[in-house]
Amino acid sequence: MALLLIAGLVMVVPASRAAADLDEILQRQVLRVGLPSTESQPFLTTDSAGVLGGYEGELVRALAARLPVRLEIDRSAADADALVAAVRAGTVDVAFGQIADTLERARGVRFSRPYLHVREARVFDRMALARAGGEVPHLARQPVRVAVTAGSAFTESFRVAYPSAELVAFPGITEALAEVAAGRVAVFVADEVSVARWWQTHPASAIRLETRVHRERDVSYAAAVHWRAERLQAWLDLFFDKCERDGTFAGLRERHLETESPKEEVR
Amino acid sequence: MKRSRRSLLPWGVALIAGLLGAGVGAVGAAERSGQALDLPPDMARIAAAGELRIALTTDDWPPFFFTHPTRGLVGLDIDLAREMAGRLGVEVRFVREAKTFDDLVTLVVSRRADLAVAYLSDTLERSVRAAFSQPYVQLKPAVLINRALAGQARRGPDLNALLNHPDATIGVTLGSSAETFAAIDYPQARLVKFEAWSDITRALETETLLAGFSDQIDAQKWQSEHPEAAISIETVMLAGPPDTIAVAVHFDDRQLRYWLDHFLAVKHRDGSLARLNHYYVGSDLWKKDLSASP
Repeated sequence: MALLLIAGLVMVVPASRAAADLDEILQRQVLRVGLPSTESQPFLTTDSAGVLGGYEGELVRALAARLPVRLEIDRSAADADALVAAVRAGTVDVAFGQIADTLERARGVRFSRPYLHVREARVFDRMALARAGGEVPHLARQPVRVAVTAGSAFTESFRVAYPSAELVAFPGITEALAEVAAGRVAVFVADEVSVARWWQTHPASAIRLETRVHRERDVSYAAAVHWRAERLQAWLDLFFDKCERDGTFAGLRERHLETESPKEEVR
Repeated sequence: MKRSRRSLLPWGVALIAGLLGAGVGAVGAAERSGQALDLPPDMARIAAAGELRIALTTDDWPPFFFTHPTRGLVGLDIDLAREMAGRLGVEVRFVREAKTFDDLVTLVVSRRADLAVAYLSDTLERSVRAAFSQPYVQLKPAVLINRALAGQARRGPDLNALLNHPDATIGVTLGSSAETFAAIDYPQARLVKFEAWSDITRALETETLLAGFSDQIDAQKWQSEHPEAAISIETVMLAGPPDTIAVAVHFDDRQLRYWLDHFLAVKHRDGSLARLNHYYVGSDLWKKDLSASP
């Protein structure tokens, strides 16, 4: 009877119990950082020696240099949604990886202040756009197919912008844009940095595809921590404030994001 | 004996399961919604209830919240509350039980409402009872002055000399932030507490009160409804610090409070908070739209 009761109780203990705040992290001298399993230029790269690069990779290294702890990198999560889930489950202390600080995610985790604001970009199939008379609002009302990369925050903005559309998630930008170019999907929604980077290697696609950047829709990337980790959140906020003031962010932007942005704008 | 003991086992399991089920009822319901399993307790509670309870006062306070004859409850706070609930994935329920603004805080503290989104100033007095979000509206303080009584007082053109005087009577609405601000700004004056702002303007019109202290919303509303009264009553927008309107939340609802600030920060970032402010506070657009609707 007692055994059964204990077993029952163990079952209802939330997984988030494992979550740690700053004091415990300092005590164990290890910061468990969740990063996406896939490399994504210009945000996260790993060189042959295993050194993290890219905007977020360098930021993680800068952060680790300011905390008296050892970094333990966990790259088991495939995308931003999976990283948020790992933070909620307490298997990592903090996660980076183009995680937009959406209101839906903020129900279950805490976000640092954003370390990067990027605008939303939409890559249209020119034919689909032409069928809608060249008007984005008209296209947005039609039952078209819209592509996003799996686990990205654009799922949330897509629901608002294209209420009648069908959402299709692809593992990466290359797969998604191949579908748009083939005319099977009307539009792909992502951040302008990723889109601009893709264009560098696919200039010939301009015949079929057209990019428009939404000037009013910002995506803000932030570090996610467990909802109990208020101290770690406060520390990250201060660290990022200092990064803004001492030019760290400016340097990261210069090194990694100085790509030509698409000029056309939506609305 | 053995047999009966054995036969009790399944009952025991059922009993434990039942007890556990009852004990974690809220989590159980949240679990069924599919994603609330590891939500913080305050967010899990709201998800399980399926609704966000918003405290309002029984009185109308346009343009923040008021009952329109055909469209029901409308206003800036109603728009904001509906959007919050939508973003949290739950229904909104308005708990319209507060007699005064201070009562709004009581509704939150006593857990009869999750939030007060109701033209509520984040005063320091209220902040010892509940937590407040970042402000979502800033209002200029304003006074209405009876010109005849001001002339009779013979204390010159200086507003402070006129109002900060033992003979000065200043009307404030009971349980409003104006009560606090008027006491700080004019410590020597005699504050007269009224049930409603309309009682204050009536007292000003009948020359039984020197001044009425409130904010730009009340002053502008009165001006537009009584353009002819400008001869007898002067409206002065004060240069002092603005009255800040914010959402009240229970101290223990820490994630909800964080989420509220994040919600407001996102709305600030995308410009929708500024648009909402302009629509309801910075212009008469809301009035035009309502008068155009059947």
